[in-house]
Amino acid sequence: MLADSLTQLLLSDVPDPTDFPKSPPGLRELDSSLRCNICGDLFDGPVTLACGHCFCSLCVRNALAEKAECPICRKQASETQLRVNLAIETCVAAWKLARTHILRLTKEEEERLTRPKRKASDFERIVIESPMKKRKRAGGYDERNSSPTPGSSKSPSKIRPKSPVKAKRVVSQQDDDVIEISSSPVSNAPDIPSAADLVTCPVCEKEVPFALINKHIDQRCPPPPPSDNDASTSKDAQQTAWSKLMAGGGGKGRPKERGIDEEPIPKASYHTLKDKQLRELLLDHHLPVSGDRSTWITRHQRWVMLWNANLDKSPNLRKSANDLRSELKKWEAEKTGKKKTVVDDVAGYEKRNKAHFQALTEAARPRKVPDKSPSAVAPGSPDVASPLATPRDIILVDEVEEVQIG
Amino acid sequence: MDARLRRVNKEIADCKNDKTSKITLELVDESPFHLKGAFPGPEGTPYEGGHFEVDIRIPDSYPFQPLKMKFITKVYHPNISSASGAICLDILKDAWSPVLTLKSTLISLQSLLCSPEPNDPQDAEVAKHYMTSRSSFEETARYWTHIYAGGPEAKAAGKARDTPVGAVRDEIAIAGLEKAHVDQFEALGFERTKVIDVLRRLNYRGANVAKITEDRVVEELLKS
Ligand SMILES: [Zn+2]
Ligand SMILES: [Zn+2]
Ligand SMILES: [Zn+2]
Repeated sequence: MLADSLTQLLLSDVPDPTDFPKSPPGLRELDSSLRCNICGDLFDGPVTLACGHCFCSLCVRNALAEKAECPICRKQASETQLRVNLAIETCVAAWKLARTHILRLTKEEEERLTRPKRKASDFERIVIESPMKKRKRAGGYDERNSSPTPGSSKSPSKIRPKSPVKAKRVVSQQDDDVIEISSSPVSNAPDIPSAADLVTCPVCEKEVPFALINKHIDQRCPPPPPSDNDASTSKDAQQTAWSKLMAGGGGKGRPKERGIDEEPIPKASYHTLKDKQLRELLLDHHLPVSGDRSTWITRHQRWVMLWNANLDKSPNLRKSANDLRSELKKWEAEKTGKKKTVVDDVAGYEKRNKAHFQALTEAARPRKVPDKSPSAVAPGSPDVASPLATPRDIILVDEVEEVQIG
Repeated sequence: MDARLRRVNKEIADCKNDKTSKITLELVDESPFHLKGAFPGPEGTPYEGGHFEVDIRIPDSYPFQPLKMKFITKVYHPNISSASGAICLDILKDAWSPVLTLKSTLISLQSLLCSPEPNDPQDAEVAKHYMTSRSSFEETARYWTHIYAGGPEAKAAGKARDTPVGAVRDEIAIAGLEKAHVDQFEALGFERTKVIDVLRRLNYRGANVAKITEDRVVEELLKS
């Protein structure tokens, strides 16, 4: 169970600017400046407000629905001010391609710089433990189980992932780096899972064999072939309503499915609409009309938000209308999940995440490289040869191993 | 992982990695959305030396709705309910912004301890105490820090703890009252707890003592 909490910790590793060391300068700042201040992820459909502050379109639309001000500087703001930021969008796409590679280079560089400065006794341990941990960060998989021969000078880059857990981690760590899966420049790198390994689809979060992941994404996430850990799904009326619509049925005599390069949907003034008109509004977009009037309104509001935010992305990055519907459905399920009894999965989910957070809060995350510049260590001076940073890393690894045994 | 969980994950990591802010976070129960935050009382305030714990709930629509926070540790402060720990702070209400974080909000609470806003009180009685006699207020706040937040012993009140009647003296000190005043009305035959309660409500402290007649106090005591 404790080992499971570790797995969760690693699986849930969320990329952020502190993945990069403070030195060389600029990388951490670069990563940070390409992230939205609301969600903390790399900009997804970046838009700029009149004040100049930039956010993901969906994030800022959400924020503006609560309060008509810039979340950062609090200047008056509204959705009409939003301007697509194409330069940042391009920049983020390029950074997603380069990020993993640069991360690996910086870690390797860091190791190269720190290694000769250790005392001989430290040296052995570091060769065994520290690079593994660091490589795990950089390469995005857990090498701890690959147990290199102690004292050998085996290069970390020769270690290959074997288990599905490790493979899963590769994708999950790159949660917002979707592009890498299909067109990564590091696709020849050693840390690629084998074809049969299950990986988590970054779009629908289902487990899919690695060999099929590209096809799966290209086909807009069809259900993966049945596997033994399939969660049973509840089948209430709502569910059926949704799945009918997802299948592309729509209402009788409805207009053809909208293309993904359509116009933004104007906001409706719901209080002026009769129930019948409201239903029409939903049916126009192939949305279910289950629930009561207030459900319809929230559903339509959320739909408008998702739809319009999606249009703020370049056409090649946009999601299909069906993907947006899945998102809306997921959002509704999460929103009502607390009151209704979709609990089965939720409980398990929270339990898994509890383990993860417990691990997070009990031990500082091993992924974080303490702020230190390698050059701060005086070369050839044995007394300062074991800076605080690395021994602490080792201690963490030790703790983690104890946990696995217990 | 949903966006809220991803963000909370990042925020916890951020607190862990920031060694300078001295802010800590831990889980309370099964949910990653129910946390306990803690920070040291700010230096140069009556809260110095104390360790203050805050109950944190992360709402479903976080970060678009504010974090829900209240003090677990009892705090004597005009903007914090001395009974429930409820906090009166704008960013926890209308002035919330989705770019605020667990860390930045806890830092705001820390600075609220430095600069009370008695004009927008959460605890009217404490605010009255703050307005009428700052030094007496600070003494009580220091005493609360000592007994509830593990702060250093306050001078006057601290000594009282070691006497055999320490428990009773504590009660008076916690209410920020003077023993002599309580004794005076207790001698008239009123119950001590009643006397403490009435004197606290009347803000029978500092310069106010001269303004409130004995008759007025007795009148209140008879009513209660
Ligand atoms: Zn965002
Ligand atoms: Zn702004
Ligand atoms: Zn142009």
